[in-house]
Amino acid sequence: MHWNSLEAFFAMGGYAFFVWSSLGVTLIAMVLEIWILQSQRKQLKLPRSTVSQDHGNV
Amino acid sequence: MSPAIQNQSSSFAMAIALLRRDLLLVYRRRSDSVTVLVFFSIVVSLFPLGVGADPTMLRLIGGGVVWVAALLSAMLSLPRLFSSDFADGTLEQLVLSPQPLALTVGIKCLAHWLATGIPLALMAPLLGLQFGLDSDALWVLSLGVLMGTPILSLIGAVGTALTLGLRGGNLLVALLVLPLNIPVLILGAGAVDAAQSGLGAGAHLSLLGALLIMTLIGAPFAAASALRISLD
Amino acid sequence: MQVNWFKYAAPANFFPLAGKIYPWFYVFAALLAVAGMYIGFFVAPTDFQQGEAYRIIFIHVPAAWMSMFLYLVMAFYASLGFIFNTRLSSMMARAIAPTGAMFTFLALWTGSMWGRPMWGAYWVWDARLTSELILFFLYIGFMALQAAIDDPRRGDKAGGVLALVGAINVPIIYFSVKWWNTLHQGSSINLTRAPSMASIMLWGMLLMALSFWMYSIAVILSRVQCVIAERERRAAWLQHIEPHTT
Repeated sequence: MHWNSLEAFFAMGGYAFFVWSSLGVTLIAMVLEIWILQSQRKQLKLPRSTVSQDHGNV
Repeated sequence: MSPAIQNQSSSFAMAIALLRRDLLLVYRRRSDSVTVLVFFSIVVSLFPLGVGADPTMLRLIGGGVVWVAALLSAMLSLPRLFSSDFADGTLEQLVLSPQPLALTVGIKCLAHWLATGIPLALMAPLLGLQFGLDSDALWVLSLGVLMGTPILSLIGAVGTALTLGLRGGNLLVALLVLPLNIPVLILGAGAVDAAQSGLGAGAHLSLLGALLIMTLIGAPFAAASALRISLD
Repeated sequence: MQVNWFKYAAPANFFPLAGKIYPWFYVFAALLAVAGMYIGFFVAPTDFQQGEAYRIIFIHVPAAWMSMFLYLVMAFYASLGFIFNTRLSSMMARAIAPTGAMFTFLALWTGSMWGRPMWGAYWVWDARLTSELILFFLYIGFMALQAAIDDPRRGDKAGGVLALVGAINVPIIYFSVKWWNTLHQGSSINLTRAPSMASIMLWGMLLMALSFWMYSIAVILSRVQCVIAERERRAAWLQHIEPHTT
């Protein structure tokens, strides 16, 4: 681990906007896709996704 | 006469008849062809108005502008390829007829190219002249459009056949076909550029020719199966 | 093996299998993403040329890989469905397209986010960016065509033809764009760089690619269930209305 502080991590060496917006948009796109799919599944009355125990998705 | 030979000669006669019929239809609706040409020259004239009339810049972008406009004009004329035949049921007869459908499609594309591709190729150097292209470049431009437009007609035939009878079909065709036409644009406009910079357009034009041959071999079959799907 | 394959080629048999396994792929994806992100953001050293901005490639490169890979898989399934008339293949192609388009969009987005600090511009007409953009158009075209056709069987087959034509064209487009690029721009911009990519960076990228892969499998299986369910429901509904349908 080579970050000195939390601030340094979030600052990303001055590239915070570029790095975090890439990560953020990726995350938003995936969450959105899963959410749309889940609502579609609900509409079609498909069983909800269940692995043996509850888990957080990507 | 053996049935095979009879079949062959009848399919040749059929092809000729179809070509004559399509050309006759084009002749009866000459205003359509003229509209495409007018559209072509309007689009080209918009560019100097949009980007300014600096002669050096115009000479630089001239080839590309004329090519993009030719692409759009060919796109605009695509609905004529099948739509009227589809509307009056002729297309269904053609699909059901014993002739190979790919041949029929090829003939229709040939007629389409004769009606739009050749006029565009004849018109292109005139428009190129307005952009200050030199005579070498104008020849290459005309030749490129002449070789490129059959590809546009053939790929366009696949797109129109797929979207036959759909809502908003024309817009959809543009969406499907334009990305596939990018290589034609790159090679055609690149040829003009190369001719202008004195590099010689041989490489571009031979690649365009290779693309034309590949498209000639593949596209009629793809368009034929697309027609079968759409008319099923 | 062979028997299994044919058994699960029928939507009715594939449906429960897909439902059973797809949640697991979300789990795999999440675990791999945690590992990949940890390596990418905490273990991998700062790039001496690009600073911290290079960490974008841990998302960008895997997304670009997935976008191209998924197009190939989609075209493969679509043409399989078209040639052999297997319904499930066409449904798979339908299920893959949105995810492929999403990864293409992500590759473009993260690419421009990476390009701004590196090139000083959000968008550069670089050969790879341009062909990625065209790939995005191809995905959109495929989806638009299928969305415009109401009859699912016609949609499947039309998609098959389009995907086949598209797949044949992809290399032609790629090489023509590459050629165009080398003719129009010097070598001032060169994405192929990456002179001595530290192996730890490679590992991070690999883990992220695997994670995206697992994610895609999960989403696609889940979506193909939706496609199957929708279609079967429509079939049942049709039988109610018109007694003569088969």
